[in-house]
Amino acid sequence: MVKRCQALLGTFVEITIPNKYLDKHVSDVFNHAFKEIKLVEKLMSFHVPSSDLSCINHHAYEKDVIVHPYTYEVLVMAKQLFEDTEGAFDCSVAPELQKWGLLPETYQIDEVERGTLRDLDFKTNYAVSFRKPLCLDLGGIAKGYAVDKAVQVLINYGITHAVVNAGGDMRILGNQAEDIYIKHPLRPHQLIHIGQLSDGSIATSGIYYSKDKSIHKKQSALVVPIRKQSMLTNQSYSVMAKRCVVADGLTKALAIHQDINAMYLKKYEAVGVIL
Amino acid sequence: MKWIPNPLISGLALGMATIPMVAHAKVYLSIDQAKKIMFGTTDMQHRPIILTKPIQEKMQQASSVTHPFDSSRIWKTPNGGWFIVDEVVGKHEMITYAVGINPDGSIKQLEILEYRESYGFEVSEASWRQQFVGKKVASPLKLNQDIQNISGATLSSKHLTDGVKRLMVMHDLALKNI
Repeated sequence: MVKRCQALLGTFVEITIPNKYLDKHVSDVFNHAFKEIKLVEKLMSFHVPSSDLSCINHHAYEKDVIVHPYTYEVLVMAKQLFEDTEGAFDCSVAPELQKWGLLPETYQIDEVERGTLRDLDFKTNYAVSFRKPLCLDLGGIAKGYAVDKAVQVLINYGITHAVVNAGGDMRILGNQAEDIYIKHPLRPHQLIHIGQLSDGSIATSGIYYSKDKSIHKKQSALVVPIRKQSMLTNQSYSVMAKRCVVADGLTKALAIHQDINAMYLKKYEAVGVIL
Repeated sequence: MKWIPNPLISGLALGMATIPMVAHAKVYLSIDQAKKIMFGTTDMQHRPIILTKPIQEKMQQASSVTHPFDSSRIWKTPNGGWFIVDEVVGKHEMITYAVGINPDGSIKQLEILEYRESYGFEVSEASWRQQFVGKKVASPLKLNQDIQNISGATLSSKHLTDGVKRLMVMHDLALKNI
């Protein structure tokens, strides 16, 4: 296997492809795939002032904002997941993450007028607008999307087996089964072999490291949207789905509902595991 | 998608599906491979430097990285760029990386060369090195090099960002005018 790793999306992104592709311009393949992930980061980062995301957070309440087709696609997906999960997946909880010191307070909205994802409107030509003030954070879904985009690059190069892993959100390309491990939610020095996956993705949510990074020690980046409270859990929530963007988004809903038989998992032909 | 769950994870047998991870290492690129990827050549001039105390202090202030910098792994490219290898040391992990710097001082590329993770004992800079250096095969530590796909542990790359900041300060103060 040939592996490359770059620091992107605030974590380490690893791409693995079999040795048999060494005769291709393997460096170009990797560079192109990483470039695609960098593009997603540039468009959807909360921290980059020039990102599409920053632009819509600042202006979409006043006017239509034209975004990159990738951003548009992620926002459509985010709203769809919000509806399918009855609000359990909600990327409009950035104000809470800001309050807890998990996101910078570069932009603040009026709490009284604050809307929900239902107030996100899609127009023609990749324009979006807010009917009420919103502050979105795509951290719960963009990583999965970036993995999918990188996999698409590999497919375009004719690669039929590969693994793209963005800090634990990963997608297996091809029918060769890969052993999947998750870190034990309480004992990070232990790994649990949870199964074998092919032609699909897995994402896992839990507190893991986020607890330590927060200023307020007892907050985690998992937010219960309805109560706008941080979720304290000792469990980890994994979702397997064909696309990584779906797996990434649905782990948050699984963490909230704790229901591995939820309808939305069936709709996306996804499997949930709680450990 | 095809998913085959491990039957041991549902029920009381969970412990049987658990494996200890004392030390875990991955090698992505050798120094020469990284040189080639970034600059298309390994033909570079090795330029180890000795850093003065004021420069070392400035590097530390600007980046909040405290562990000592090994300034022997610096190369100058034929066109005036630089190639530097460095490490970041976290609580449980050590990451060796390479940075390519363009002649104009901007970052050309950043590549992770090696990733090592270790649990079960306190990690200090010295013990990190001792554990791994030259001991890959004969080490009494079991390295889980075959474990590839670990979900559920988003490791922050913040340390790395600080490390790169330190290198850029060094470039500015010590390399730029060489």
